[in-house]
Amino acid sequence: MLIFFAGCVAGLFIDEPVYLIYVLLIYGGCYFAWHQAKVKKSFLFLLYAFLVGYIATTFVLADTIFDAEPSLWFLYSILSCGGFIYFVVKYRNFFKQA
Amino acid sequence: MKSAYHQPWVYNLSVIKDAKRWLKHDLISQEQFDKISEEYKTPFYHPNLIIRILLFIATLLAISGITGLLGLMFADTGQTAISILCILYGIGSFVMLEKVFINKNHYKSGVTEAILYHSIGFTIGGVAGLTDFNSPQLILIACLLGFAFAAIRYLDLLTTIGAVASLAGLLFYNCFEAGGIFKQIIPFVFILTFSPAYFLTKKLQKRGDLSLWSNNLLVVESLSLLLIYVSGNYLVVRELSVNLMDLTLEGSNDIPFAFLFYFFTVIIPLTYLYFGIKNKDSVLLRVSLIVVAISVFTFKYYSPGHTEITLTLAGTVLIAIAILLMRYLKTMRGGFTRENLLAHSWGNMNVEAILISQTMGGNQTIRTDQETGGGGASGGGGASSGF
Repeated sequence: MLIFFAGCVAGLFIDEPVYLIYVLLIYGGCYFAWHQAKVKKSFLFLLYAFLVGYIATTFVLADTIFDAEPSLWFLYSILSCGGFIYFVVKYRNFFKQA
Repeated sequence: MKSAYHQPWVYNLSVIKDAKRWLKHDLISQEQFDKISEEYKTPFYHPNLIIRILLFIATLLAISGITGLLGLMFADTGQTAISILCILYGIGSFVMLEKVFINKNHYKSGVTEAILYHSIGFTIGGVAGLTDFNSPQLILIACLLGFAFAAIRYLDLLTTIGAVASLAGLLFYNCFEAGGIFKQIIPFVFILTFSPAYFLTKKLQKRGDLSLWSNNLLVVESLSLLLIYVSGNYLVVRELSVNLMDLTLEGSNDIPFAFLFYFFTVIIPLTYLYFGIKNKDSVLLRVSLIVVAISVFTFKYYSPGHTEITLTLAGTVLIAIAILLMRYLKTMRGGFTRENLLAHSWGNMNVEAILISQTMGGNQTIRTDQETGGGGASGGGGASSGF
Protein backbone atom coordinates (compact mmCIF):
# COMPACT_ATOMS: atom_id res chain seq x y z
CA MET A 1 0.00 0.00 0.00
CA LEU A 2 2.79 2.38 0.97
CA ILE A 3 4.77 1.66 -2.21
CA PHE A 4 1.62 2.15 -4.30
CA PHE A 5 0.96 5.52 -2.68
CA ALA A 6 4.63 6.56 -2.94
CA GLY A 7 4.57 5.77 -6.67
CA CYS A 8 1.32 7.68 -7.18
CA VAL A 9 2.57 10.74 -5.29
CA ALA A 10 5.78 10.70 -7.34
CA GLY A 11 3.59 10.48 -10.47
CA LEU A 12 1.69 13.59 -9.35
CA PHE A 13 4.78 15.73 -9.62
CA ILE A 14 5.73 14.86 -13.19
CA ASP A 15 5.25 17.99 -15.19
CA GLU A 16 2.58 16.70 -17.56
CA PRO A 17 -1.23 16.78 -17.64
CA VAL A 18 -1.19 12.99 -17.27
CA TYR A 19 -0.91 13.49 -13.50
CA LEU A 20 -4.71 13.39 -13.32
CA ILE A 21 -4.50 9.63 -13.81
CA TYR A 22 -2.42 9.43 -10.64
CA VAL A 23 -4.96 11.57 -8.83
CA LEU A 24 -7.67 9.07 -9.73
CA LEU A 25 -5.42 6.18 -8.72
CA ILE A 26 -4.75 7.88 -5.37
CA TYR A 27 -8.46 8.41 -4.72
CA GLY A 28 -9.08 4.75 -5.56
CA GLY A 29 -6.27 3.74 -3.21
CA CYS A 30 -7.67 6.03 -0.52
CA TYR A 31 -11.05 4.34 -0.73
CA PHE A 32 -9.40 0.93 -0.45
CA ALA A 33 -7.23 2.07 2.49
CA TRP A 34 -10.27 3.60 4.23
CA HIS A 35 -12.15 0.34 3.77
CA GLN A 36 -9.21 -1.68 5.11
CA ALA A 37 -8.87 0.70 8.04
CA LYS A 38 -12.48 0.05 8.98
CA VAL A 39 -12.25 -3.71 8.49
CA LYS A 40 -8.92 -4.21 10.25
CA LYS A 41 -9.32 -1.34 12.74
CA SER A 42 -5.95 -0.15 11.49
CA PHE A 43 -5.04 3.44 12.14
CA LEU A 44 -2.07 3.20 9.77
CA PHE A 45 -4.29 2.62 6.74
CA LEU A 46 -6.45 5.54 7.74
CA LEU A 47 -3.36 7.71 8.06
CA TYR A 48 -2.13 6.69 4.59
CA ALA A 49 -5.54 7.41 3.09
CA PHE A 50 -5.82 10.80 4.71
CA LEU A 51 -2.29 12.05 4.02
CA VAL A 52 -2.07 10.94 0.41
CA GLY A 53 -5.63 12.07 -0.33
CA TYR A 54 -4.85 15.47 1.15
CA ILE A 55 -1.64 15.80 -0.91
CA ALA A 56 -3.50 14.88 -4.11
CA THR A 57 -6.41 17.24 -3.46
CA THR A 58 -4.09 20.10 -2.55
CA PHE A 59 -2.01 19.49 -5.68
CA VAL A 60 -5.05 19.53 -7.97
CA LEU A 61 -6.46 22.66 -6.34
CA ALA A 62 -3.05 24.38 -6.48
CA ASP A 63 -2.81 23.60 -10.17
CA THR A 64 -6.29 24.82 -11.00
CA ILE A 65 -8.11 27.20 -8.65
CA PHE A 66 -5.28 28.61 -6.50
CA ASP A 67 -3.31 29.65 -9.57
CA ALA A 68 -6.12 32.07 -10.37
CA GLU A 69 -6.78 33.33 -6.84
CA PRO A 70 -3.83 32.85 -4.41
CA SER A 71 -5.73 34.19 -1.37
CA LEU A 72 -7.88 31.06 -1.56
CA TRP A 73 -4.86 29.19 -0.15
CA PHE A 74 -5.57 30.68 3.24
CA LEU A 75 -9.25 29.77 3.21
CA TYR A 76 -8.38 26.29 2.01
CA SER A 77 -5.84 25.73 4.80
CA ILE A 78 -8.30 27.03 7.42
CA LEU A 79 -11.21 24.93 6.19
CA SER A 80 -9.34 21.74 5.39
CA CYS A 81 -7.23 21.66 8.56
CA GLY A 82 -10.09 22.94 10.72
CA GLY A 83 -12.28 20.21 9.21
CA PHE A 84 -9.63 17.61 9.97
CA ILE A 85 -9.34 18.73 13.59
CA TYR A 86 -13.12 18.71 13.96
CA PHE A 87 -13.29 15.24 12.43
CA VAL A 88 -10.59 13.79 14.70
CA VAL A 89 -12.06 15.30 17.86
CA LYS A 90 -15.67 14.47 16.91
CA TYR A 91 -14.92 10.85 15.96
CA ARG A 92 -12.44 10.23 18.76
CA ASN A 93 -13.99 6.87 19.60
CA PHE A 94 -13.09 5.51 16.18
CA PHE A 95 -9.47 6.46 16.76
CA LYS A 96 -9.50 4.96 20.23
CA GLN A 97 -10.61 1.65 18.76
CA ALA A 98 -8.09 1.84 15.95
CA MET B 1 -0.04 31.54 39.34
CA LYS B 2 -2.66 28.85 38.81
CA SER B 3 -2.59 26.28 36.05
CA ALA B 4 -5.22 26.54 33.32
CA TYR B 5 -5.99 22.85 33.83
CA HIS B 6 -8.15 21.39 36.58
CA GLN B 7 -5.61 19.86 38.98
CA PRO B 8 -7.54 16.73 40.08
CA TRP B 9 -8.20 15.79 36.47
CA VAL B 10 -4.52 16.17 35.60
CA TYR B 11 -3.73 13.96 38.58
CA ASN B 12 -6.30 11.38 37.48
CA LEU B 13 -4.85 11.34 33.98
CA SER B 14 -1.35 10.74 35.35
CA VAL B 15 -2.71 7.87 37.48
CA ILE B 16 -4.31 6.27 34.42
CA LYS B 17 -1.14 6.72 32.38
CA ASP B 18 0.95 5.09 35.10
CA ALA B 19 -1.60 2.31 35.52
CA LYS B 20 -1.27 1.64 31.78
CA ARG B 21 2.48 1.27 32.28
CA TRP B 22 1.89 -1.09 35.18
CA LEU B 23 -0.47 -3.12 33.03
CA LYS B 24 2.15 -3.29 30.30
CA HIS B 25 4.70 -4.64 32.79
CA ASP B 26 2.16 -7.13 34.21
CA LEU B 27 2.26 -5.47 37.61
CA ILE B 28 -1.54 -5.28 37.57
CA SER B 29 -4.25 -7.25 35.81
CA GLN B 30 -6.70 -5.92 33.22
CA GLU B 31 -9.42 -6.04 35.86
CA GLN B 32 -7.38 -3.90 38.24
CA PHE B 33 -6.63 -1.48 35.43
CA ASP B 34 -10.33 -1.18 34.61
CA LYS B 35 -11.08 -0.42 38.25
CA ILE B 36 -8.37 2.24 38.38
CA SER B 37 -9.69 3.78 35.13
CA GLU B 38 -13.19 3.81 36.61
CA GLU B 39 -12.06 5.41 39.88
CA TYR B 40 -9.81 8.02 38.27
CA LYS B 41 -12.06 9.17 35.45
CA THR B 42 -10.99 12.30 33.65
CA PRO B 43 -12.90 14.21 30.96
CA PHE B 44 -9.68 15.43 29.30
CA TYR B 45 -9.19 14.92 25.58
CA HIS B 46 -5.60 13.67 25.44
CA PRO B 47 -5.09 11.46 22.37
CA ASN B 48 -2.09 9.28 21.57
CA LEU B 49 1.16 10.66 20.20
CA ILE B 50 0.47 10.14 16.48
CA ILE B 51 -2.92 11.84 16.65
CA ARG B 52 -1.37 14.66 18.66
CA ILE B 53 1.31 15.19 16.02
CA LEU B 54 -1.33 15.20 13.27
CA LEU B 55 -3.52 17.62 15.20
CA PHE B 56 -0.50 19.82 15.90
CA ILE B 57 0.41 20.05 12.19
CA ALA B 58 -3.20 20.55 11.12
CA THR B 59 -3.69 23.31 13.70
CA LEU B 60 -0.49 25.05 12.64
CA LEU B 61 -1.66 24.98 9.00
CA ALA B 62 -5.12 26.22 9.95
CA ILE B 63 -3.84 29.11 12.06
CA SER B 64 -1.27 29.98 9.42
CA GLY B 65 -4.25 30.40 7.07
CA ILE B 66 -5.92 32.76 9.54
CA THR B 67 -2.63 34.62 10.01
CA GLY B 68 -2.19 34.87 6.24
CA LEU B 69 -5.64 36.38 5.76
CA LEU B 70 -5.04 38.88 8.58
CA GLY B 71 -1.61 39.61 7.11
CA LEU B 72 -3.20 40.50 3.78
CA MET B 73 -5.59 42.87 5.55
CA PHE B 74 -2.97 44.71 7.63
CA ALA B 75 0.10 44.40 5.40
CA ASP B 76 0.27 48.14 4.65
CA THR B 77 -0.18 49.52 8.16
CA GLY B 78 3.51 50.05 8.98
CA GLN B 79 5.96 48.23 11.23
CA THR B 80 4.86 49.69 14.57
CA ALA B 81 1.19 49.00 13.90
CA ILE B 82 1.99 45.46 12.75
CA SER B 83 4.07 44.86 15.89
CA ILE B 84 1.23 46.04 18.13
CA LEU B 85 -1.25 43.94 16.14
CA CYS B 86 1.06 40.93 16.54
CA ILE B 87 1.04 41.37 20.32
CA LEU B 88 -2.75 41.72 20.34
CA TYR B 89 -3.10 38.71 18.04
CA GLY B 90 -0.82 36.69 20.34
CA ILE B 91 -2.80 37.66 23.44
CA GLY B 92 -6.06 36.96 21.56
CA SER B 93 -4.73 33.50 20.70
CA PHE B 94 -4.00 32.85 24.38
CA VAL B 95 -7.60 33.80 25.19
CA MET B 96 -8.91 31.57 22.39
CA LEU B 97 -6.75 28.71 23.65
CA GLU B 98 -8.29 28.93 27.11
CA LYS B 99 -11.88 29.75 26.21
CA VAL B 100 -12.32 27.52 23.18
CA PHE B 101 -10.04 24.54 23.72
CA ILE B 102 -9.02 24.21 27.37
CA ASN B 103 -12.59 24.93 28.50
CA LYS B 104 -13.64 22.03 26.23
CA ASN B 105 -11.23 19.78 28.12
CA HIS B 106 -8.40 19.63 25.61
CA TYR B 107 -5.28 18.65 27.53
CA LYS B 108 -2.05 18.65 25.53
CA SER B 109 -4.02 17.43 22.55
CA GLY B 110 -1.70 18.80 19.86
CA VAL B 111 -4.18 21.61 19.16
CA THR B 112 -3.35 23.29 22.49
CA GLU B 113 0.41 23.12 21.91
CA ALA B 114 0.14 24.53 18.38
CA ILE B 115 -1.99 27.49 19.53
CA LEU B 116 0.24 28.01 22.56
CA TYR B 117 3.46 28.23 20.52
CA HIS B 118 1.67 30.39 17.96
CA SER B 119 0.52 32.78 20.72
CA ILE B 120 3.96 33.00 22.32
CA GLY B 121 5.61 33.46 18.94
CA PHE B 122 3.39 36.37 18.00
CA THR B 123 3.60 38.04 21.41
CA ILE B 124 7.40 37.84 21.55
CA GLY B 125 7.71 38.67 17.84
CA GLY B 126 5.52 41.74 18.39
CA VAL B 127 7.70 42.95 21.28
CA ALA B 128 10.81 42.34 19.18
CA GLY B 129 9.24 44.25 16.29
CA LEU B 130 8.51 47.24 18.55
CA THR B 131 12.23 47.43 19.36
CA ASP B 132 13.06 47.06 15.66
CA PHE B 133 14.86 43.81 16.62
CA ASN B 134 17.65 45.94 18.08
CA SER B 135 17.29 45.25 21.78
CA PRO B 136 18.38 41.70 22.66
CA GLN B 137 17.92 42.52 26.35
CA LEU B 138 14.21 43.35 25.93
CA ILE B 139 13.64 40.43 23.55
CA LEU B 140 15.24 38.02 26.04
CA ILE B 141 13.12 39.44 28.88
CA ALA B 142 10.00 39.04 26.72
CA CYS B 143 11.06 35.46 25.94
CA LEU B 144 11.68 34.72 29.62
CA LEU B 145 8.30 36.12 30.70
CA GLY B 146 6.38 34.55 27.81
CA PHE B 147 7.93 31.12 28.17
CA ALA B 148 7.71 31.13 31.97
CA PHE B 149 4.02 32.12 31.79
CA ALA B 150 3.28 29.34 29.29
CA ALA B 151 5.28 26.79 31.28
CA ILE B 152 3.50 27.57 34.55
CA ARG B 153 -0.02 28.12 33.25
CA TYR B 154 -0.13 25.39 30.58
CA LEU B 155 2.38 22.91 32.11
CA ASP B 156 4.30 22.88 28.85
CA LEU B 157 7.77 21.35 28.79
CA LEU B 158 9.15 22.95 25.62
CA THR B 159 8.39 26.41 26.95
CA THR B 160 10.06 25.40 30.21
CA ILE B 161 13.21 24.71 28.21
CA GLY B 162 12.67 28.05 26.48
CA ALA B 163 12.36 29.86 29.82
CA VAL B 164 15.58 28.34 31.19
CA ALA B 165 17.38 29.07 27.91
CA SER B 166 16.11 32.67 27.99
CA LEU B 167 17.37 33.09 31.55
CA ALA B 168 20.75 31.70 30.55
CA GLY B 169 20.80 33.95 27.50
CA LEU B 170 19.90 36.98 29.59
CA LEU B 171 22.69 36.24 32.08
CA PHE B 172 25.21 35.70 29.31
CA TYR B 173 24.18 38.81 27.42
CA ASN B 174 24.33 41.07 30.47
CA CYS B 175 27.74 39.79 31.58
CA PHE B 176 29.03 40.01 28.03
CA GLU B 177 27.76 43.56 27.58
CA ALA B 178 29.13 44.64 30.98
CA GLY B 179 32.59 43.77 29.63
CA GLY B 180 35.88 43.72 31.56
CA ILE B 181 35.98 41.33 34.48
CA PHE B 182 32.32 40.33 33.96
CA LYS B 183 33.22 38.85 30.58
CA GLN B 184 35.90 36.73 32.22
CA ILE B 185 33.66 35.38 34.96
CA ILE B 186 30.70 34.30 32.81
CA PRO B 187 31.34 30.56 33.49
CA PHE B 188 31.45 31.18 37.25
CA VAL B 189 28.30 33.34 37.12
CA PHE B 190 26.52 30.45 35.40
CA ILE B 191 27.78 27.90 37.92
CA LEU B 192 26.83 30.15 40.83
CA THR B 193 23.36 30.78 39.36
CA PHE B 194 22.38 27.29 38.27
CA SER B 195 23.79 25.41 41.27
CA PRO B 196 21.31 27.07 43.68
CA ALA B 197 18.65 26.71 40.96
CA TYR B 198 19.27 22.95 40.97
CA PHE B 199 18.98 22.62 44.75
CA LEU B 200 15.94 24.91 44.81
CA THR B 201 14.27 22.74 42.16
CA LYS B 202 15.03 19.60 44.20
CA LYS B 203 13.43 21.27 47.21
CA LEU B 204 10.37 22.40 45.25
CA GLN B 205 9.85 18.89 43.87
CA LYS B 206 9.16 17.69 47.41
CA ARG B 207 6.27 20.12 47.85
CA GLY B 208 2.93 18.41 47.37
CA ASP B 209 1.15 21.57 46.21
CA LEU B 210 3.57 21.82 43.28
CA SER B 211 3.11 18.23 42.10
CA LEU B 212 1.22 19.52 39.04
CA TRP B 213 4.49 21.05 37.83
CA SER B 214 6.66 18.02 38.65
CA ASN B 215 7.58 17.44 34.99
CA ASN B 216 8.48 21.10 34.51
CA LEU B 217 10.66 20.98 37.62
CA LEU B 218 12.29 17.84 36.29
CA VAL B 219 13.19 19.69 33.09
CA VAL B 220 14.59 22.65 35.07
CA GLU B 221 16.59 20.23 37.23
CA SER B 222 18.12 18.47 34.21
CA LEU B 223 18.85 21.72 32.40
CA SER B 224 20.45 23.23 35.52
CA LEU B 225 22.78 20.24 35.76
CA LEU B 226 23.63 20.49 32.08
CA LEU B 227 24.25 24.24 32.27
CA ILE B 228 26.50 23.85 35.32
CA TYR B 229 28.56 21.32 33.39
CA VAL B 230 28.63 23.28 30.15
CA SER B 231 29.76 26.41 32.03
CA GLY B 232 32.81 24.55 33.28
CA ASN B 233 33.52 22.56 30.13
CA TYR B 234 36.93 23.39 28.65
CA LEU B 235 35.81 23.07 25.02
CA VAL B 236 32.83 25.41 25.47
CA VAL B 237 34.81 28.02 27.44
CA ARG B 238 37.76 27.95 25.05
CA GLU B 239 35.70 28.17 21.86
CA LEU B 240 33.46 30.92 23.25
CA SER B 241 36.52 32.85 24.44
CA VAL B 242 38.10 32.63 20.99
CA ASN B 243 34.95 33.40 19.01
CA LEU B 244 33.18 35.98 21.16
CA MET B 245 35.92 37.64 23.15
CA ASP B 246 38.53 37.88 20.40
CA LEU B 247 41.02 35.85 22.40
CA THR B 248 43.95 34.80 20.22
CA LEU B 249 45.67 31.58 21.21
CA GLU B 250 48.91 30.72 19.48
CA GLY B 251 51.37 27.91 20.06
CA SER B 252 51.20 26.60 23.60
CA ASN B 253 48.99 29.46 24.82
CA ASP B 254 45.88 28.51 26.70
CA ILE B 255 42.79 30.26 28.05
CA PRO B 256 42.96 31.90 31.51
CA PHE B 257 42.32 29.43 34.37
CA ALA B 258 42.63 26.55 31.90
CA PHE B 259 43.60 24.12 34.67
CA LEU B 260 40.33 24.95 36.44
CA PHE B 261 38.26 24.12 33.37
CA TYR B 262 40.21 20.88 32.80
CA PHE B 263 39.36 20.03 36.38
CA PHE B 264 35.65 20.88 35.96
CA THR B 265 35.46 18.87 32.73
CA VAL B 266 36.64 15.78 34.59
CA ILE B 267 35.21 16.25 38.05
CA ILE B 268 31.63 17.36 37.27
CA PRO B 269 30.62 14.22 35.32
CA LEU B 270 32.21 12.01 37.98
CA THR B 271 30.43 13.93 40.74
CA TYR B 272 27.09 13.56 38.94
CA LEU B 273 27.73 9.86 38.43
CA TYR B 274 28.77 9.31 42.05
CA PHE B 275 25.77 11.10 43.55
CA GLY B 276 23.44 9.59 40.95
CA ILE B 277 24.41 6.07 42.04
CA LYS B 278 24.68 6.94 45.74
CA ASN B 279 21.28 8.66 45.95
CA LYS B 280 19.62 6.48 43.27
CA ASP B 281 18.79 9.67 41.42
CA SER B 282 17.81 8.81 37.84
CA VAL B 283 18.06 12.43 36.63
CA LEU B 284 21.63 12.77 37.88
CA LEU B 285 22.52 9.38 36.42
CA ARG B 286 21.12 10.19 32.98
CA VAL B 287 22.67 13.66 32.86
CA SER B 288 25.99 12.22 34.06
CA LEU B 289 26.06 9.78 31.11
CA ILE B 290 25.48 12.63 28.66
CA VAL B 291 28.17 14.84 30.19
CA VAL B 292 30.66 11.96 30.38
CA ALA B 293 30.24 11.62 26.62
CA ILE B 294 30.79 15.38 26.15
CA SER B 295 33.90 15.23 28.36
CA VAL B 296 35.35 12.39 26.29
CA PHE B 297 34.63 14.38 23.15
CA THR B 298 36.30 17.46 24.68
CA PHE B 299 39.55 15.64 25.43
CA LYS B 300 39.47 13.85 22.10
CA TYR B 301 38.93 17.17 20.31
CA TYR B 302 42.21 18.59 21.61
CA SER B 303 44.25 15.40 21.25
CA PRO B 304 43.65 14.29 17.67
CA GLY B 305 44.60 10.79 16.61
CA HIS B 306 42.90 8.00 14.75
CA THR B 307 39.29 8.98 15.37
CA GLU B 308 37.93 5.86 13.69
CA ILE B 309 39.95 3.60 16.00
CA THR B 310 38.98 5.61 19.09
CA LEU B 311 35.28 5.53 18.17
CA THR B 312 35.34 1.81 17.37
CA LEU B 313 37.09 1.02 20.65
CA ALA B 314 34.80 3.33 22.64
CA GLY B 315 31.73 1.77 21.01
CA THR B 316 32.99 -1.75 21.74
CA VAL B 317 33.71 -0.92 25.37
CA LEU B 318 30.31 0.76 25.82
CA ILE B 319 28.45 -2.17 24.22
CA ALA B 320 30.35 -4.59 26.48
CA ILE B 321 29.55 -2.51 29.57
CA ALA B 322 25.89 -2.24 28.52
CA ILE B 323 25.58 -6.03 27.99
CA LEU B 324 27.30 -6.79 31.30
CA LEU B 325 25.12 -4.30 33.17
CA MET B 326 21.93 -5.59 31.53
CA ARG B 327 22.83 -9.11 32.65
CA TYR B 328 23.96 -8.02 36.11
CA LEU B 329 20.81 -5.96 36.72
CA LYS B 330 18.40 -8.62 35.45
CA THR B 331 17.56 -9.16 39.09
CA MET B 332 17.35 -6.11 41.34
CA ARG B 333 20.67 -5.32 43.04
CA GLY B 334 20.96 -2.58 45.62
CA GLY B 335 17.75 -0.94 44.39
CA PHE B 336 18.83 -0.93 40.73
CA THR B 337 17.24 -2.97 37.98
CA ARG B 338 17.25 -2.86 34.19
CA GLU B 339 13.44 -2.93 34.12
CA ASN B 340 11.60 0.33 33.64
CA LEU B 341 9.10 -0.41 36.38
CA LEU B 342 7.62 2.85 37.51
CA ALA B 343 7.39 6.41 36.35
CA HIS B 344 9.23 9.14 38.19
CA SER B 345 6.17 10.62 39.86
CA TRP B 346 5.37 7.29 41.41
CA GLY B 347 8.90 6.65 42.59
CA ASN B 348 8.17 7.35 46.22
CA MET B 349 4.65 5.98 46.43
CA ASN B 350 3.61 2.77 48.05
CA VAL B 351 2.60 0.65 45.08
CA GLU B 352 1.13 -2.10 47.21
CA ALA B 353 -1.12 0.33 49.07
CA ILE B 354 -2.46 1.80 45.84
CA LEU B 355 -3.11 -1.63 44.35
CA ILE B 356 -4.94 -2.79 47.47
CA SER B 357 -7.00 0.39 47.66
CA GLN B 358 -8.01 0.04 44.00
CA THR B 359 -8.84 -3.64 44.07
CA MET B 360 -10.59 -3.65 47.44
CA GLY B 361 -12.76 -0.67 46.46
CA GLY B 362 -11.59 1.61 49.24
CA ASN B 363 -10.40 4.50 47.14
CA GLN B 364 -12.20 7.77 46.57
CA THR B 365 -11.59 10.10 43.70
CA ILE B 366 -10.23 13.46 44.83
CA ARG B 367 -12.90 16.08 44.76
CA THR B 368 -12.37 19.69 45.59
CA ASP B 369 -14.71 21.82 47.66
CA GLN B 370 -15.51 23.73 44.52
CA GLU B 371 -16.94 20.58 42.92
CA THR B 372 -18.85 19.26 45.91
CA GLY B 373 -20.01 22.52 47.39
CA GLY B 374 -17.82 22.06 50.45
CA GLY B 375 -20.41 20.30 52.67
CA GLY B 376 -21.69 21.46 56.03
CA ALA B 377 -19.63 22.24 59.06
CA SER B 378 -21.93 20.38 61.47
CA GLY B 379 -23.30 16.84 61.52
CA GLY B 380 -26.92 15.77 61.85
CA GLY B 381 -29.62 17.87 60.30
CA GLY B 382 -28.46 19.78 57.28
CA ALA B 383 -25.69 22.18 56.43
CA SER B 384 -24.42 24.85 58.75
CA SER B 385 -23.74 28.45 57.96
CA GLY B 386 -20.26 27.39 57.04
CA PHE B 387 -21.49 26.01 53.71
